[in-house]
Amino acid sequence: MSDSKYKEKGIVAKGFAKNLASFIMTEPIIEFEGNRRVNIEGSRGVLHYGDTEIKISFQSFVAVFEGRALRLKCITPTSLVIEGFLVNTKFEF
Amino acid sequence: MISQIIRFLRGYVIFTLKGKFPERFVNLSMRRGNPFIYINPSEDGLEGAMLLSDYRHVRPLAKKCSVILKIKKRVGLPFILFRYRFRKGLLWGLLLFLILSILMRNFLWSVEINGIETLSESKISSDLRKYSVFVGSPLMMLDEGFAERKLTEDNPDIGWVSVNVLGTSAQVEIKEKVRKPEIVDYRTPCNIVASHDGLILEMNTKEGTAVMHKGSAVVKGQLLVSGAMANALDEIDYVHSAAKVMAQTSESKTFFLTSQVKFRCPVKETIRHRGLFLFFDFPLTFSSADSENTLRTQTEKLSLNGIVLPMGIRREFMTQYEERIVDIDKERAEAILSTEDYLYRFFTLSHCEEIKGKSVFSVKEKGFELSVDYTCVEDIAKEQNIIVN
Repeated sequence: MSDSKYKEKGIVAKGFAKNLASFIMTEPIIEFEGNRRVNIEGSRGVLHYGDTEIKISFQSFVAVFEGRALRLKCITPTSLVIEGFLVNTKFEF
Repeated sequence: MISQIIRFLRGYVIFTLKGKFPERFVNLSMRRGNPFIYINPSEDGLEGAMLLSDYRHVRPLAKKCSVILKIKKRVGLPFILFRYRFRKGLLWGLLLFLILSILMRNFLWSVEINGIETLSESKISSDLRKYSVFVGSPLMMLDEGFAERKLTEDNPDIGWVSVNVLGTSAQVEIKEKVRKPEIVDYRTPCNIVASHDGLILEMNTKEGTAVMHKGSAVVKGQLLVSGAMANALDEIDYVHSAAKVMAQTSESKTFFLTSQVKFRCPVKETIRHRGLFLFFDFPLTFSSADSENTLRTQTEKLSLNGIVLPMGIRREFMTQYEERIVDIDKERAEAILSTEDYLYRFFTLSHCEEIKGKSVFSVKEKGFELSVDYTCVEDIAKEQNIIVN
């Protein structure tokens, strides 16, 4: 089998994995524990990180968490935890 | 706790992030698999901590994200080792410590003897030393079974012994033999005779024929109860006589004390310290000692978490004595002799049920004298075997 065929197969496999992931996790999961803790899964990254405001990017929107003494914990490429005193949450499209 | 130890061993840095896109730096770091220990917002940027190995990987990202990384603090073992990299002595010390630790495992560090009640501990220790059970003995030379056997052979009073070597310490468990109780022979025919001169106050004959009665005056060795008894057929049976004969006895005792008493008085105590390490001992403090001095030692071994270490300290208390002559006056002599009288009653006449004493104190040419006439009530019955031909 030639190299080009291997490449083609690799691209197909990558595409399949991407589709599968999007199929399994179509929407992000945002879980509030009162107003002190937010567990987020399916995030795309941190856009703004401040003491009073944190902006998290998702596939189709941006979530803005406002409050006091906000901290990011357990950060991974697709999930994170926000701890602090949450006052307001907004979604920007 | 464990994660903190791992972090310390691997080393980590606390740094600040300042610039245009610190959030982008965070995202890129996470995607590259370089996690933060923590990341918090600060006055004009972010402050975070990261393992040293991860920090090396994320440094090139700083330029890409237009941020300036500034290390605030370096924590962990790699930084400590780096600081002392030119101090070869520390490395040699560590090596020496490791070698010593490996070597020391092959020696006996402590010997504990348990279960001794009447036997001498020093005698057992010296016997154990003969069979290679002593502090500093190489473990490869130690034969527990042989030591147990020999120790039992050397000490007939030992019923059971076990030498248990646990790591570098030996525990010697000893169980002494239970002494055979004295068996009274009730079958051998015997008479009861008087052990002292006296006047019989009470006589209780359990076996045998009473020869004397209450109120009889007897002398030492006189027959009180005969072991010969006539049976129903008028034949003589010889029995083991048993009786309790309470009699009033009298005894005189004279205590004498010279007017000048010579005695050795402790005047000075010197403490000398010696360090102990395995089987070596070396002086820590120096002080001279005369041959006249008495020596008392006290050994304290260092122990760590219940394990006795092969090092410690020995204190030697040396007491110096001086010979003194003291003149005794009458009051003091009377007090001393009264004490002697009391001790005589307490120890020598302890078997008597009742003691009465009449004492006369007198001053003699060379000293003082206390004469005491004791009147006692005691059991004067004494067994004496009958020889039947």
